[in-house]
Amino acid sequence: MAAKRDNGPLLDVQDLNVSIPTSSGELTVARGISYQVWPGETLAIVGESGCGKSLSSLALIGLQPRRAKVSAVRCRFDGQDLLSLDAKQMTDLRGTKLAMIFQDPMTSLNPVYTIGDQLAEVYTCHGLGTKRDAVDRATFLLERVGIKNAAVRLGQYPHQLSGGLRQRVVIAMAMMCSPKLIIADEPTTALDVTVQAVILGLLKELQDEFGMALVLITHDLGVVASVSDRVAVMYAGRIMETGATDQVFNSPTHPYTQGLLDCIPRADGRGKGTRLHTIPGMVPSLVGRIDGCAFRNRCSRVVPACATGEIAVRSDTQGHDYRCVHPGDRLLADWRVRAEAPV
Amino acid sequence: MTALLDVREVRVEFPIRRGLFQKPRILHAVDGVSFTVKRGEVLSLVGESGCGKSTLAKTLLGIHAPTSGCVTFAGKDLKELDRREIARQIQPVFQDPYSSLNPRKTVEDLIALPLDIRAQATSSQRREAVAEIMGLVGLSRRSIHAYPSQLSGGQRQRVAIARALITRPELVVCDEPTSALDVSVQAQILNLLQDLKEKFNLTYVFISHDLNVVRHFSDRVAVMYLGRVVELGDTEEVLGRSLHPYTRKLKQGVLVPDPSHRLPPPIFDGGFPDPTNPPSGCHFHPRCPDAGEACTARRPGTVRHGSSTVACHLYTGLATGHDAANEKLEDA
Repeated sequence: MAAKRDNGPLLDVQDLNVSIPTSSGELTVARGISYQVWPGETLAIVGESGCGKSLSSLALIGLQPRRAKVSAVRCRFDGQDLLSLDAKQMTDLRGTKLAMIFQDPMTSLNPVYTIGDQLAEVYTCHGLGTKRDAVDRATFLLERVGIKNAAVRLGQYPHQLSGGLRQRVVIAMAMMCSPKLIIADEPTTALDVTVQAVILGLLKELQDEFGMALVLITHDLGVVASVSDRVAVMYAGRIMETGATDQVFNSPTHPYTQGLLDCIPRADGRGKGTRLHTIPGMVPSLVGRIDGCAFRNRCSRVVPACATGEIAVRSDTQGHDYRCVHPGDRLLADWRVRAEAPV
Repeated sequence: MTALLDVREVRVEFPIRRGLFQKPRILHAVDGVSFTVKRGEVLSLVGESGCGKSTLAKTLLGIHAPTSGCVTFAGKDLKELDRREIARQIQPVFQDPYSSLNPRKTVEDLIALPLDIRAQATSSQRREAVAEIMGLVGLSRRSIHAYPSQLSGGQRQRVAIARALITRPELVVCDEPTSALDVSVQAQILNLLQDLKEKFNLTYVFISHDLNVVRHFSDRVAVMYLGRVVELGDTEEVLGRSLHPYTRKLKQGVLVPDPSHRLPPPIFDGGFPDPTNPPSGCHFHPRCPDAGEACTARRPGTVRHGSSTVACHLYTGLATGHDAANEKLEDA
């Protein structure tokens, strides 16, 4: 769906830093993250475990660990400064204008309350109506997310539902107060492949129908390519590359993005029996400062300039940004040659 | 050449007690599965959760005894082999290295566990064996006294692989070995498994739900649905030409990391059937676009087609006659 850009971004994050003091030093999970989400669009934040993609998003809505330090130049959602809200204002905001979907529906639903109680609570505790209205809305939404016999399901407990159904309930719960933005953290990772596409399709459908924006946090590039409008690739607490999904997948410009795409076994079976491309080395520790490019120790194109100072963001004409010292057209040309070489 | 592993008509059933006074229902987790695996081959098992692939894996490891049927390994029935003997020759690598490694043991103790159980190695042999296998799986010596919590997911999976290989088994049963890992780590672990296979002439039974990984890694594939193998054959045959309607559906559900492929339409309307009360005839018929009358009535037999075998009435000639089956083949 084309994003509406008339009234400015719905979520505007500028230079977000999140760090957590630990016994071995300060763990910095977000190092100057900036992105915007426009009404109705889907932004995928992709990266490997421990790159800070979840924590940096949780910090936006005040769900970071208590010790964590969060700062940003700007962090505006729908006209409000998220970081200046007090606990009560944040609670009012969460669930109403801004909702969250977590990875594992078994742990995000309370096992001792019925589905109906849990859905209705979202509505009543924000003072949006009576219990009766809440149950009506819950029934409507359960049907909308494709659960048959909604009235019966409302009286059931989470353990009586399959994983796919539970995730539908969680989606319905996120929709209870018609949010403007949903942050979905690995919403389909715990699900079967056959259910994955269904849940993603449902999210997209609801998004089109109700005009929500979606921030999708995932490590699965297949999910990203299938549903997102724009992508931000994160590595070691930084956004390395961002652009429209087509641009990032068809013309990946940062060596890290290129490396990630190369790691995936080919769907057509080409390259069978050969070795997969790997990114040598490991994700760096996020404790302490990282000078220069965080990816340089694993990068095949490292030059002395990678080690010093802050790597500036380069952009091309169409809002495709990347954080690398090398000119993008050359990186891209070399990658194309590599990617198309016979295997 | 005879098969290293021969699984014949294996059934594994579990009684499910629903209430104190109700008769237990029988869950047919594995329902008459047969296949063989040659030495040095990789056979993948694919299917949705609940299709019985993990139960089958545990049966191969001697953890579950088959209710009926038999598993023959290197010419011997598993039932006649001692548990330790099975463990020496058949080893597992599980999905989640966060739960498959004891958090209170060091890497050295974890890897040496199979040796300790057999109590045949002296302490210097033990140390040498651990050091050697750690080198082979790409773990640095510095981590020998580390605990799992100090290791990354990829390193933990390397520990699990080292532990599996220290007794030099012939068969390794990998149950979703890379599902919990990031793509870049997945690529490293798949390459490692490939290298070790060549080095030790290993045979793998490889369980995965990721068809791209399966296509890359395996020689043959068995597609399972509710405890039964519905299609079995060479990887390229099964995932390329795909005779069974279920295999085709599974393929449609794969999300391709290419934005020109948009989200596939939902593969199935209904949910996964209740495995304690499976549909009659062909278990797949309620979700099958090609289901006919015969499909609800009779369990399809296995039909050979080229290098594959398929259990579907489209090919047994019962569904809609031979013409329909032939048409299907031309489409494919």
